[in-house]
Amino acid sequence: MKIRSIELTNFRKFVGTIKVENIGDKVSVLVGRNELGKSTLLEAINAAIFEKAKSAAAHVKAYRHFVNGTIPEVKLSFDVDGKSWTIHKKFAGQSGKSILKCSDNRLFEDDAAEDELQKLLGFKSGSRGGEPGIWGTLWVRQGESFGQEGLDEQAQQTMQQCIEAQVGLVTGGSRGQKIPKAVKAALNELQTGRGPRGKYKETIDRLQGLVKEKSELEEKRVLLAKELELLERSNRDLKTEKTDWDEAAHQNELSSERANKTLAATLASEIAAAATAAKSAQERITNAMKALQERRQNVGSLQKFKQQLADLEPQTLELNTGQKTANDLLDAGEIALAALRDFASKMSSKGRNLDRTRTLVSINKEIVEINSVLEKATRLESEADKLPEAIGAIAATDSLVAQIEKAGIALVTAEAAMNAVATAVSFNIQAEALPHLYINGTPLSNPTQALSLIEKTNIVIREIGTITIEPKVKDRVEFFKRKQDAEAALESALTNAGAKDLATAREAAAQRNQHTRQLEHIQKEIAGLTPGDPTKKLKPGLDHIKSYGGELRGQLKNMLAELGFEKVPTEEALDRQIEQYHKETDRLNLEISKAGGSVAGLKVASADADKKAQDHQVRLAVLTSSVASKEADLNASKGMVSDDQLEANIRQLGIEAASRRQDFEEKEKVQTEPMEAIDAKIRRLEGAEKNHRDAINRLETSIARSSALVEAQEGAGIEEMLLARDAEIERLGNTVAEFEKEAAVLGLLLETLEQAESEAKTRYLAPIVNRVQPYLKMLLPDTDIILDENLQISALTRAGQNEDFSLLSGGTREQLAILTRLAFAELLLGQGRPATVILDDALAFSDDERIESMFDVLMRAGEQVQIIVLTCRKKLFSRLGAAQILIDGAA
Amino acid sequence: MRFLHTSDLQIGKVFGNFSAEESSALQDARQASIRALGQVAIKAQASAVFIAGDIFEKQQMSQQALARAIENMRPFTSLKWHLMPGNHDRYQENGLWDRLARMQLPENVMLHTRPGAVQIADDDGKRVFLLPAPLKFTSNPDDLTSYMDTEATPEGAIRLGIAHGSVQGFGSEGEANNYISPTRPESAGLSYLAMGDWHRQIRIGDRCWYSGTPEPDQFKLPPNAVTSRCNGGSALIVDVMGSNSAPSVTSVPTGHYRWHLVEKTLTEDYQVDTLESELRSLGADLSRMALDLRARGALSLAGRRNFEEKILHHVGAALRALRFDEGGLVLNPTDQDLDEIDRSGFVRVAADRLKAIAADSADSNRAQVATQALKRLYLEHLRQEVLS
Repeated sequence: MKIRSIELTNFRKFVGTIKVENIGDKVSVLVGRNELGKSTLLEAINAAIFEKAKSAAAHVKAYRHFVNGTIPEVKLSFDVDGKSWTIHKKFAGQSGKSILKCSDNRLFEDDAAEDELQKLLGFKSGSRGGEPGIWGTLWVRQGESFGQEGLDEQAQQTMQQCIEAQVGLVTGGSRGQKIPKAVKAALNELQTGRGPRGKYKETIDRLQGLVKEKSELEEKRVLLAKELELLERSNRDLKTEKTDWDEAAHQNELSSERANKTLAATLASEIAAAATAAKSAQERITNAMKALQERRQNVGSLQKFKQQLADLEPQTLELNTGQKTANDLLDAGEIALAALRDFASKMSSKGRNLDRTRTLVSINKEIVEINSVLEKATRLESEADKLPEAIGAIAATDSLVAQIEKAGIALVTAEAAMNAVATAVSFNIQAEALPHLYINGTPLSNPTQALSLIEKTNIVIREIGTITIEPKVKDRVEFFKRKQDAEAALESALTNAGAKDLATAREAAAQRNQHTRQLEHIQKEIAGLTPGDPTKKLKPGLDHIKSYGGELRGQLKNMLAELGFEKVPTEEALDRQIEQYHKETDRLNLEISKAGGSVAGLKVASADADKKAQDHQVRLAVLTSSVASKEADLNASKGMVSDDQLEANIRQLGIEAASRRQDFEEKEKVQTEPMEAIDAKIRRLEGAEKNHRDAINRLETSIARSSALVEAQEGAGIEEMLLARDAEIERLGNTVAEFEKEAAVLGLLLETLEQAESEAKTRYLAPIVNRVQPYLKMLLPDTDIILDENLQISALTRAGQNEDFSLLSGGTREQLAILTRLAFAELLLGQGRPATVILDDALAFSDDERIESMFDVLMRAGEQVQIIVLTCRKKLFSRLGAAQILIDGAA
Repeated sequence: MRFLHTSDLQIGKVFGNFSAEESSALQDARQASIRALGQVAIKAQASAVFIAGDIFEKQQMSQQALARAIENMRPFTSLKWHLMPGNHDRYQENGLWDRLARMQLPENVMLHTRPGAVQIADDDGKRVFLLPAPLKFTSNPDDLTSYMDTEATPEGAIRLGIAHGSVQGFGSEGEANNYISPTRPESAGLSYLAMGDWHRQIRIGDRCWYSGTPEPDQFKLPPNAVTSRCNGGSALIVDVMGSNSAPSVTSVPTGHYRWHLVEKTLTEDYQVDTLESELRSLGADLSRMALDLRARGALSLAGRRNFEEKILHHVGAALRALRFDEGGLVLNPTDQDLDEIDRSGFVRVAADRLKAIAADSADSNRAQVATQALKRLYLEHLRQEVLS
């Protein structure tokens, strides 16, 4: 459908006729100032199509002019399916008129017109007039555009038909919607995200409680079973204990053993008494005999000591003699040794004189050597003394020779310089003519001669005339001065050197050098003769050695006086004396050593003799003392009891001891069981009795305890209770399994339903979403739109986040709503249905940037859908770039 | 002498596989079986009741359980109750039997806790001796009846044996390895050997019978069963004429509840109705019936819903106890089932997916869950239909 023109006459606020024509295929902007009636224009379009001309409804009556109430008329021209149509309606109640004309010349009036219009534009007739259905969505009244597109049931059906025509039947109907909800509710009753709940959970809890109870019962059952076993065993043991025990026999045995013990104890004490008596009798004898024996021993040892003293007498004499002899020998040895040492001392004095004589001889030898050096040095000095004079006599030195050489060269150079600038004059004169030629008054000496002239020169040829040559030499004076200076220098140098020429000078200088070297050589030689000697603290130099020689001569003189020599002996004589001395000394030393050894031996012998004598004295003293002491003891003892008495006592004691021993031996012969054995038996019997009584006690206690425990437990019927728990556990286990299964079943069902529903929805909404998406990308890149099953925008997805539609800004909501409408229109057109989008004062909330984007969207959509924009903002919408049509009406 | 032979009352046994209420009823029935046995014995003019072991389920029974059992015997003054330990209630010193002994038992109750011939009656001048073989251990390597061969009784006396164990070797019907020679009556000169341990009634020989339990306790069919009725629920009336003649043995019903094991394969939805009528015709009083229903095969979602309604809910309510394992009955949702859920839309997509998962044999657990989910979806859909 494409609206082409609309004409209003006396409609609402309009008086007279307003006509808007030439509405284009694409986007048209109908501009009118505020209050001019843009919204009225949209209402009129709605009225022309959906309201019956004969309608008496209040809202139709309201089309009349609110002041003068004239009959309103609307004439709408539009194209559908390539044909042009015009509907003309006069809203006059019962006398209202509808005329529908087609470009194919068909004409419909009144009801027929209304019916045809319905058919043509696909809307239903309602009780209150036509129901716009999808048109209500596409034609947005002022203020509605920024809300949800709000499809009514008819509009939804229309869209649904369009969508299902494209993607097939996908929904499950209203009942289908309820099934997932019911399944979810059932599943929620069973479990939450955290796990089972309600009866399911209660059952699990009860089951766990029962399992716990069961394990407690099981424990009790085991304990009871053990107790029963224990009771049975205790009873058996008690019976055995009692059966196996013969109390009477046991008591008899014990009494008999105790009697045995008493008997044995009496006998044992008697034996012990007899043994003690026998032992003490024996001890008395032993003591008596010991006393007697001791007395006898004392007498014997006294005799022995006295004999020993007597035996020692001769030994005393011998020892004293030996001691004296040893001491005399020692004295003699010591005297001989002293004599030898005295002689040795004298020999030693002689040795010292010989040493001094050796020193004397060596000093003398040194003096001779020094004298020889001094002699040689004196000769060299007299030689050296002559040389300085000879050197002084020669003036030419090496440096003077060098000066002469230098001055010579300077002269040659000056002459060469003059020659260079001189005028060369060559003569080749016949020999006969030679004496006729004079040069500056001097005759020419050589027939072929060359002259270099610097000065004015007169060559006189006798008898011929004079040839004057005057060279034009610059700086002639300078040249001459230079030459004269050089000549003067040479002459001065030669004079200084005392030479007539350079060769003489060189020779004289060489002679001079020769003398100088010889002097140096002699001086070195003299120094070599007196090098000095640090060991004698002798410094180098002739003077020092002279002084040293003087000292040595002084020493020599002294020593000669000391030693009483008139002259220094020869070295050979001295050596002979020394050798003799050494021989004598060696012999003397040997003798002294021998005499020393002998004296040492004699000392030892003397000490030994002294010691022996001393020891002997001690031994004598000890023996004498022992003899005295023993004699005293014996005398005292004999004073108390005599030997006879002692022997009589011993005999009496012997008889007594024999009697006691016999008594003991008789008692010991009586045979009885050992006491330890009897004690062991008694202990064993008492232990056995105690064990028996303990066992009975223990078993009876145990039986009483076990019986009480068993009786306390058995009434409850633990195993019966266990059976009941088992059954209940099995039952609850089954119930839990059923719940589990139920949850699994509901879970799978819900999952399958939701997945299928989600897929269906995606498929169902795809035609709309696919159409919205390109526009959305133009407006808000990187966003997606989410529609619900009622084709309403539920959210916007931006950067993976869902933003609820209701929370978006008014501007964005309006923009999205317009996009959706454009998509609806495109979808309708695609299905061959009529669709036109009318926007009344839309985009009021859009910012500058967005509104430009929306303009782009509208222009692009306008390629397929006719879009009529009603606005009061002429300037703003001029940027839309669409044809603008001014609504020029009179309000 | 005429007496009633029974065993394996197993008073105190519990039934965890049933609901608490069902279990409680089945448990009470075991205790009540004593009275039923007494009444049957009186009716048959018997003078004694032999209980061949396992009177009680466990050693450690509550005082109340023990006392109640004895009290249930007390009123039958004309009957002598002869009780002997089995493997469940073996004799242990200071245990259950000593407790019973301490309880001042009524004169008509006699405990046989030691082997050895005991005179129990003087039947018209013929002295009757009972030779019990009580168990001291759960499992006994020796044949406890072997002593009977040499146990002396007066000439001409009637010898009756009572034992608990298995006449076959290990691995037979008995619970423990307590072998008893089936020729014991002959070797020991017994007129009758009253056996306990096996819960089904069976004749081993002329003079040797298992009485079976008087009140059923297992969904176990006898070999080559022709009906769905499980073992147990009867006792034996034994008439011993003399020491040499064979006794006359008659089975008498004693059980309060009948236990049935029904196995059914369902392949078509209509078979649910057939099954219902079959179950209803099992007995006149379904309230005295415990049923183990083992359904197999496959049903559509609609068929399954029908099954649950008619069998599990309706018949289940009529029964005393119902055990049903649905593992064998798979769901085979038809296109019609799925169309009923929805012909299109995402719910239908989900249903189709669940069906695919349920058909995937690679993950049987998930397949099972998916089957249930599909069933749930179907029911939820129906519920929403009712609500709207």
